[in-house]
Formats: sequence, C-alpha cells, structure tokens
Amino acid sequence: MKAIRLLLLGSLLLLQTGCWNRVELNDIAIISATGVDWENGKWVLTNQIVIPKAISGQAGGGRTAAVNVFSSTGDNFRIAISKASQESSRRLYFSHNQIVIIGQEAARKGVGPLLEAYLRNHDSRETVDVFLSKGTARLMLEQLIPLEQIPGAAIQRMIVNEEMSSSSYRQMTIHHVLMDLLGHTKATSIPGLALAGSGESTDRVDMLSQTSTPSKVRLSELGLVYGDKLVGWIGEEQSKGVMWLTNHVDKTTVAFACTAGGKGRQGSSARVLHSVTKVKPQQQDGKWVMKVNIEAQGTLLEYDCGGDLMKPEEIWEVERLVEERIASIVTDGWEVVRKHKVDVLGFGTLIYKHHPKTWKVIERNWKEEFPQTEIELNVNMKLSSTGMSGKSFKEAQKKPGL
Amino acid sequence: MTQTKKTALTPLSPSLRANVQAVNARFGGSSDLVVRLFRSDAAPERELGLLYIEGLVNTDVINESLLAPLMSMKLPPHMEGKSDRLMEALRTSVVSIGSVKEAAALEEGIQQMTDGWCLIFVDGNAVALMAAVGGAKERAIGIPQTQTVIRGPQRAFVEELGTNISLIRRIIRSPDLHVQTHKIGTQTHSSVAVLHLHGVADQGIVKEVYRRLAAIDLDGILESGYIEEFIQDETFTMFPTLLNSERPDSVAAGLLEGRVAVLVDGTPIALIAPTTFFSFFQSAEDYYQRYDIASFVRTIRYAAYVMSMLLPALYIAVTTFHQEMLPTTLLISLAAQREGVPFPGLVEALLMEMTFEVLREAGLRMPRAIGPAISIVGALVLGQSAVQAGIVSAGMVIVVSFTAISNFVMPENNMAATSRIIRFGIMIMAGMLGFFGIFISVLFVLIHLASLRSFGVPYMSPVAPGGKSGGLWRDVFVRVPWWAIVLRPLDMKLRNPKRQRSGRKPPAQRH
Amino acid sequence: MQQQFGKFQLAILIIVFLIGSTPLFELGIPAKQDAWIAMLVAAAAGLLLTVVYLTLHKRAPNAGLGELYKYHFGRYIGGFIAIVHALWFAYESMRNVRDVGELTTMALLSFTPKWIIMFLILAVAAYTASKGVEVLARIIQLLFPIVILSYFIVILLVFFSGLVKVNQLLPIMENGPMPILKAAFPNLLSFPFAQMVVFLVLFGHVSEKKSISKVTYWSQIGVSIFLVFMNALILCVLGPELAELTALPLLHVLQLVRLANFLERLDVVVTLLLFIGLFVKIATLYIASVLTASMATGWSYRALVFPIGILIYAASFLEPNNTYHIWIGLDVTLKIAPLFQIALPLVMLVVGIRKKYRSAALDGAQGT
Repeated sequence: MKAIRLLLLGSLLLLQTGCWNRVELNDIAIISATGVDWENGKWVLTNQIVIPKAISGQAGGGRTAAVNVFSSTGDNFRIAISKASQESSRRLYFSHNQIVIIGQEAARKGVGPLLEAYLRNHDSRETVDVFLSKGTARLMLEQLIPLEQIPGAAIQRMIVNEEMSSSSYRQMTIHHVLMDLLGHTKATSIPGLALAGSGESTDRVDMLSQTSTPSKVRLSELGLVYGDKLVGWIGEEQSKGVMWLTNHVDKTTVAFACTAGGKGRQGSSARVLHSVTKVKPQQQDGKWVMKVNIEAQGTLLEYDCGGDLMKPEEIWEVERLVEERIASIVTDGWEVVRKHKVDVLGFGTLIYKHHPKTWKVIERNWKEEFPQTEIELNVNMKLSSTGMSGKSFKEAQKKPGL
Repeated sequence: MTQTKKTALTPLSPSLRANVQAVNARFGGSSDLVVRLFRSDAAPERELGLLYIEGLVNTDVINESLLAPLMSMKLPPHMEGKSDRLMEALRTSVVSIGSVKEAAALEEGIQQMTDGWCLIFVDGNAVALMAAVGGAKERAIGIPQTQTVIRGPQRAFVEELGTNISLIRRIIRSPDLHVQTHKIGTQTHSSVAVLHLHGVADQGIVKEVYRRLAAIDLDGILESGYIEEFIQDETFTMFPTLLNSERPDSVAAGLLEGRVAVLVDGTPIALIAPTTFFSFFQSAEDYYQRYDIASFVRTIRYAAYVMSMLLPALYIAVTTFHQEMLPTTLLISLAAQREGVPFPGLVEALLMEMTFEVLREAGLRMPRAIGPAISIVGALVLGQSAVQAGIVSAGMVIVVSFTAISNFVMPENNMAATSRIIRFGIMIMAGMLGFFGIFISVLFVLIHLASLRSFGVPYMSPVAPGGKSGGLWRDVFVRVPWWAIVLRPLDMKLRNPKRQRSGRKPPAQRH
Repeated sequence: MQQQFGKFQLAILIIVFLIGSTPLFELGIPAKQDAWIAMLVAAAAGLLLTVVYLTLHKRAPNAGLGELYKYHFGRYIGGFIAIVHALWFAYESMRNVRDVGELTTMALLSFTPKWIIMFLILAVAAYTASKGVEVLARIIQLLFPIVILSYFIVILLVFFSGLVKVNQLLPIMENGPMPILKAAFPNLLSFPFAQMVVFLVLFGHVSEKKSISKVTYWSQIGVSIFLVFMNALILCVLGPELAELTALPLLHVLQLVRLANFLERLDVVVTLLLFIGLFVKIATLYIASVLTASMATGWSYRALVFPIGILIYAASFLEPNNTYHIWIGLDVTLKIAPLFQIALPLVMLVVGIRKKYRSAALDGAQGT
C-alpha cells in the first residue's frame, strides 16, 4: 500500500519533467484548407493558414487578410508537410482542416497517396470535404470570398448550402471517397471548383471593398474518378442527373416547360422538397436493367402556363410535366456517365448486394458491362401545394375582349 | 458520568481549613477562586466554607439559594444539637438547588468546580457537598452563519453544550433520544455528548463511537474538529467522513435517519456519523422546499461540484492537447486571446487558481471593514488588468471564475475544500497528459472514494455498493416527495429501517 | 472474512468486463459483412461455456478457481495448474495494459512514452487490487452509469449523423456459413466471451449465492446482444472494406460524427470510454491472478499484489511494437487461451462427475 502510494507520488514528480504532446494555442498554425497539386513530378502541398488575430483580435479584423497561403513540395505528402516547417514559425495543425482541394493534374495522377496519408494519420480527419479544381488548387485557396473571413470554411459552407438547396452537387468527404473507391465499383464522383469571372485573382483584402469582385470561386462540374484517377468531367445538369440516380437529391428546383416533351422555354419551376430514389437491378436477356423509381414531392414555385390550377386534373398535368423533366435530367446524366464508362452510380455495388453470386462472374468485366446496362425510369412527382395563388398571373390577366 | 481517574484520589480532610488550603493550593492561588467562610445560625460552632470559581457560576443563585438559606437556616427539631449531622441537613432541607452531589475526594470536588459547581465544606466533615450553580454568561442562540437557508428554522447551535442538547431535545421530544456525555481532554475536561435515537440507530455504531471517543487521550479538545480527526475511519483521505453542522434541525434529521451525533462543549459545530459522500450534497433546505425544486437544485450541486474539480483541468487539456475537440470558431477566438500570453496554459491556470485561493483566504482572514476594498482589487486589478496587460487570457479568467463560483454552491464547506485541493492535482495531470491525465486522476479519486468507509458504512453507498433496494435511491441525486421516502437512507443494519408506512400518498383532492 | 459483493454488482461486473475494449475492434472481420453473425454465433457458444463454468461453481459455491483445481486434480497437480492459470490471468491483464499503451499512442498522445501511460493505468489497477474485490465491484458500479450513458449517446449520435447504412450488411452469408464459423471459432469465442472464465475466481465472493446463475446468464445475454449490435453498427458505417483496413474502427466511426458543427471529433471522449473498459479488464484479471496465486501458494493476498503488479508491468515491455503485439494476440494467445478457457473446465467437469459417482458408490457401499 505504502509502496504504491510512494510510487504514485514519484511518478507524479517524473511527469513534471516532460510535456510530450502539449502544444499551446499560440504555437500552432490552424489550417483551414489544403490544396494538392502535381507539378514537375512532385507533389505540391498548399496550406491555407488562419491568422486568429486578424479575425478576432482586439485590433479587429478587416485590414489584413485572415488567412495566409503557402506551398511546399515533396515526393510524398508527409515529407511535403514536414518541409513546410522550413517556412512556418508554428506547427501545422490539420485537425480543423475544412476542405481538401485536389488540382486537376494531381487528380489525374491519382489520389491514392492522399487517401493513404489520411487513413494512417490521426490528426487528419476524414470529415474533410474533397473538391477537384479546374485550375491549380493553390489558385482556389488564394481567393478571398465575400461575407466570410476564412475562405476554406466558406467553400465548405458553399457545398453544404448547395446540397441543401439545389442538390446539383453533393458534399464528398474523404470518408465518402474512401468508401466508394474501396467498394466494388472503385469509382466515385467529386465536385469541382472553378474560378469564374474575369480571371483576375481576388487575393487582396482591398478588392473586397468593391461591391463586386472581379472573380469568384464557384462550384462547377463533377469530376469522375475511377481507381484513384480523374477520368473526366461532367456538367452541372448531368451532375444533377447523377444525384437523382444515386438518391442524393433531397431539395432542388426543377424548371419545366408548358408543353409535353419538354419543348419550348422552361418558364415554370417546381420546388422538390423531398425525394427518394430506389434502384433495383434485374437481369433481362443477358443484360442488366436498373429499375429506377423516383418518388418526389414538392410545391409549385413559378407557373407560366395556362389552365386553372384549382382543378385536380390541371395539377396532374403539371405533375406529369415535372416528372417528364426530371426523367430527362436523369436520362441525360445517365447517358454521360455511360459514355465515360465509370460506374459512379453504384450499380455494380447494387448487383453485388442483391445477386452476390452473379456479381462474382461479372465483376472483372464490369467496366465493359456497365455501359451495356439499361435503365428503366419511373418518376412520380407529387405537388403538395401550388403556393399562395391559384391561376397563373398570365391567366388572371386575360380579360375577355382584350 | 465522570471519567474514572487514573491517579489515586486524595481523600478530603475533616478540617475545613485543611480542605480550603488544599483546594487553594491545587488551583495555585488563582485569583478567581472565591472562598467564603461563614457560620450558620443553626450551628454557630462549626465553620462552613463555600468555594466556587468566579465567572463559571451564577452569583445570583449563590446569593439567593445558597448563602442566604445557609446562613439563616435552622436545624429541624429532630436534629437539634446534632451538629455532626449538619451536612445531611444541608443536603436534605437547606440547599435549594437541583443537582447536588457529595464528594469524598479532593479531585472530585475540584473537577466539578471547573464545571461551574460550588463546594460546601462543613468543618469536621470529610465530605464536601457540591451544588450545580453554573450559569456563566453565554452568547444567545443566533441564526446560522455558514449553513443558511431561505425556508427553514433560523436557529444555530451556540458554544454551550447544555443549550445545544436542549435545542435538539426541543425538536425530538422523545425519551428515545439518548445522551451520553464524556469528559475528554486531560487538561480541558471538555464535555463531549453523544446523541442517538434509541431503537433507530445501530447499537454497534453507537458503541463504536463510544469506543473511539474513549481512546482519545489529548490534553485539550477545543473544537469538534479535534474529535473528528480522532474518530474518523481513515486519516489519509481528503474527503470528510463526518458531517459537520451548526444547525439543530440538521442534527435532528440525522438522528431520525439513525445516525449518531457528537456535540462538543465550546463549539457550535456538531458532528454527524456515519455519513456518506452524498450527504454532503444535501442541504437542510432540500427537505423544506418543494421536492421538485429541491431535486433540481441538488442535481445542479452535483454538476457544480464536478465542475469545480474538473473545469480548469478540462480547459487545460482541451486547449493544450485536444484542440481538435473545439469548434473551429471557438478555437480561433481562443487562439487570438492567447497571442502574446507568455505562460503555458498550465502555468497560466495555476497562477490564476493560486491568485483566487489567496484572495479567498484573504477575504476570510482580514478584518471585515476592508472586505470591499479587497474585492475591488481582486476583481478589477487581477481580473481585468491581467487580461488587458496580456498576462493571462480572458478565457482562462472566465474558467477560473466559474470554477470558483461552482465551488460556493456546496452546502458543506469541508467537501468544497476537498475539491479545491484535488483540483490542483488534476490540473497538473491534465497539463502533462491531457485527457488521459484527467482520466487517471478521476479514476484514482473514484477508487479512493469507493474504498472509504464511515463507521463501517461504505462511503459511496447507496450507489456503490448499491442495488439492494430501490428505496434507498430516493434521496440521493434527487429528493422524492416526503410520502415516498419510506426507508431510512443508510445502507446499514438499522433496528428500524422504515420511517413511515408505505403507501401514504395523499389522495388528490377534487372539488 | 472474505470480501463480498452483491448480485447486482455481479451483473454490472459481467457487463462492463465483457464490454471491456471489445467494441474497439471489429471482431470477426475475416467473415466480411457477416462479422456480426460470427459474433452472434460465438456469443451463443460463449453462453454454453458459461453453463460449464456455473456447473463447476455450484459444486463448491465458496471456492475460487484455485480451490476448484485442487479439488479436482489433487493438491499438487491442482496447485500447479492454479499457478499457471494465475500467470495466464496476469498475462491477459498485461495484454490489456499494452492495449492502453497502444491506443493512447495511436489516438491520444502520440509523443508520450508508453511506459508512463502503462505505468499510470497499472498503478490505478494496483491501487484497486490492493483494496480488494469489494472495491473493484464498487468502482465498476460507479463507472457503469458513465459507460452505459456514453455508449447510448454515441449510438444516438452515430444514428443522427446519418452515417448508418444498413445495406452495408448485404449480402448475408455470401460464401455460406464456413467463413462465419472460421471467424467465430476459436478467435471470437476466446475473446471476449470465454474470458468469462475469470468469474470462476469471483463467483465465490458473491453474497447472494442463489441468484448467481440467473444474473450471470441474463447479463451475459444482454451484453452479447450489445456487442453484436456494436459490431453491426461499425459495419453499417464503415462497410466491410474500410472496417478491415482501419486499425481502430470505433474511433474511425466517431471521427466521422459531425453534428451541428459543434459535436465534432468525439473520438477523444470515446477513447476515454474504452480506457474505462480496459481498466476494468486489467483490474479484474489482475485481482483474479492475485487471488488464484494466493490460493495456490497459500501466501497472503496483500503480499502478492505488488509482485504480480511488477510482473505485469515488466511483461508489458516484452513486445517491441504494435504489429508484434497484435500478432501475438491473434496467433499465439488465441492458440493457448482455449486450454484455460475450454479444455481445463471441461476436464474438471468430467473429472468431477467421476468423483461424484465414486463418492456416491462409496456411500452406497457403506450403507449396505
């Protein structure tokens, strides 16, 4: 007993000698975003460091940029990070990293090493959002974003906002990417970032004093990744189709035309408030057919066609128009993905789950079999409300005799 | 009643002068020893002596009930002329005082004199008559100073033992309330009273209290704290295993629950044993105000206690080891505060905690008149200026202040003090090993708590060991309505474990 | 008088002991998405073993494992087996000490030397051991609400963060039942379910003898269901591929929890939760080792606490690194463990039956 007590006391004294993992808040450089580029045969790692004082110091922010961006190069990620200490006064701290941007070149080279680094290290979290970038990742990280002080966090909020309101792209974390690439189809899709506008970089604080910045970072296109390499891009509309097919649309706005077949100007729009996509694989004459069933529910936002919306038949008509439109979006998306021969839709995984024996046979040739797959689409849209008015404005204006 | 003397007793002498001289010599000629020699009308041939210590006795009683009757007494007819039976006459028909005893030994008489009795010698008798004429000036019964309540009795113990016992007797008017008084202290001969409710308290525990009290051989007992350190189960613990109270109602409540109370003459603080960890979170008021409010307040108290022990350590651990746990915005604002702070987080925290402890101690010890000045210095100079000067970060000041306030929630000061000491240990561990350090320290404290006992009752009961009967839980973390508290709370063999019949829920009154 | 604890405490002891560090690992992952079925099968088999243990216990309700060995195998052979088993308990305790060291280095304090971490956790366990079985039961009772509440919150958070995808469990029994059985036996049976053998040491200390069987069965069934559920939960979040890849699947799951931008990175809290489980295992096995050794050698309990503590601490440095630690754990330990967990109890069971018959026969002979 006494011996144990003494030992405990002794160990306490021993502990005084070292503080191995201790790091003070003013000894760390909080990283809000990381960029990965491939240049001249080496990985270029760009970090966006938050300057706390500029954000919430007593001096008040505004004068100086709240972040600082710098790059380091190396043969692998961790060596590049450790090289960063040659130009940073503080230890790089990755746990609060919000996003990782992978430059186009780096993505074509392969994201495997990046994922490996994330899996092995404890301080890098897999909840980090991943983006591909049309230009270099560094360029994206240098952009200041109005309203927000930390651009990294701003981009992260951008994708969350996008997912919540229009679902053209989906938030992809390292975890999602890992799950997809480790899955049976080894394919995933990652949203891309691009610099829109004049092309002049918005990288000085005084540029934010104007009402309009010359250029801004925006989400654009969806990158398709197979194995661990970027194989192609698909546009926003097609990306939306992919989202519908993979059940990642929850809220979105669908524009539709008044006539059947989708011809004419799309002057009306409906808001989808909730949607569920169910896909069921079926084998029909040696081919795989995916039965896609989309159940959507929403309200009418804008209505530019004729007809009295107080009548149920009219509502059915409108619903049918929306359904058609959704079906065409989905089909467009499907055709593009099919062309790229990359199963980012998870069809292969579905077959594996429901027909594991058959999957074993076709697994090896799936890249060839996938484009042969057909989809059978069934969209069901329910309008739960037509908003606060009945007839369209145009209808109401029509006066006899005019 | 009186403790048996180890030394040999000196028999009194038949000579009055010799006796008076002996007493005088024993007191070393102290000036407050009053010796009044006189002769009575009844037997003028014999000298009488009245001895007492000034200040310990009520002079009015001496004058009216002793001196006057003694001087003017007449022997009853059948005793006429038998002056050798004067002593017997004094006792049976003259001295009009309740407690009267005879002493044959000098030490016996002297012992009683220090208790406020007076001695009456009759020349020619080797016996002294002793009469209780005590009645020293005492403080009046006041309101509780440390254990205050909003609703509930506003009476506190005083320094005088007799008054204190009477305060309890006035609450529990039952002959089952047994009082045993011990004289402890070879010099002070302090009275220590042990109270228990016969038929409710466990006799084994009562006996154990007697046994432990009898083993004390200190020269003086000035406060119940002395007794506490002698009779607690474990010395090497930071946790109090005896409950302190200056409230007669709390002591009475303890007695009703089958506990034993120890009252010490000269202090308004009583001890209650056995006690459990959870008793220290129960304020007297919990039982007086509505049960729902009482339960809510009690849970807050537990939370505040944990806070007061762990908060600075958690802050240190999170800011210097596990920054990933903070929300990003909070991390950035904390990091901004820390820019330019010269000390590591641990040192910063220790510095502020020490400052607070000094302030607190100063607030207790300094004369009352300069209290406000110190609060201004403490709050303004040390808080605000230290932050503005960049010596400590604002976050740390907030944490330390909140910790300090949390600590004041505790109804029992000694339990609060425990957390203040342990806090420093945990802070150092957190500063070295982060959450792991906190984990190890808390585990250590918990194991220690689980191993403690108070008079044989496990300290953490009824939680650990627990599960014996659901009824014991009703007054631990919450307090259920009174009609549902059927069982006495202690996890021990009580003679009478039920305090009321069950199923006494008042029916809802419909009008 | 020997220290005692109640049936309620026994139930809690079984629950927390079996939970231990089990949810930390994705056990049975060789069976891929059927790992949870393997767990279920092993749990059922574990329950059968518990029947054996309880039968043994009922033969001598006040005896510990050491006495049971002596009773069945005679004074010398039994005593020798008891000492070996005591050492085995110490070894298992050591493995958990080492687990704490590895877990801390991996997830919490990467630069802190392991010897300090392991020393501290062992010191706390030694403190418990020095206080005896009674305090062990109490401390577990104090920790129990924390454990249950934390797991409950963890499960809720994982569900609310929308990470659970039940279809990860599909297809069920892709390759038939063989991979499941292979994963379940002997590995999953030995760890954690057959570790119940340690309770042969502790049953004797339970004050309410009559309820032991009932309490043991129910708490083991409850905790088995919980463990299978946790196993399936991890699978549902990570999927079989990632669950197999990552070293600490539960921590990986918790890293992914992200709610309201506030409750993030809860893995630190869960690490502490795992520490509680590991501590309970270390302390229980430690005490079991001391008790058994003390029974076998006749030395006093208190005299053995310190030497066995030193033994455990010294042994925890024998493995050079984590890979070695896990390799020994999976390849060596799991081959020896069935000897103590299954073989010896079964032999005792059989020997006991013969002894009983013989004594019955003797009684009959005397009667006639």
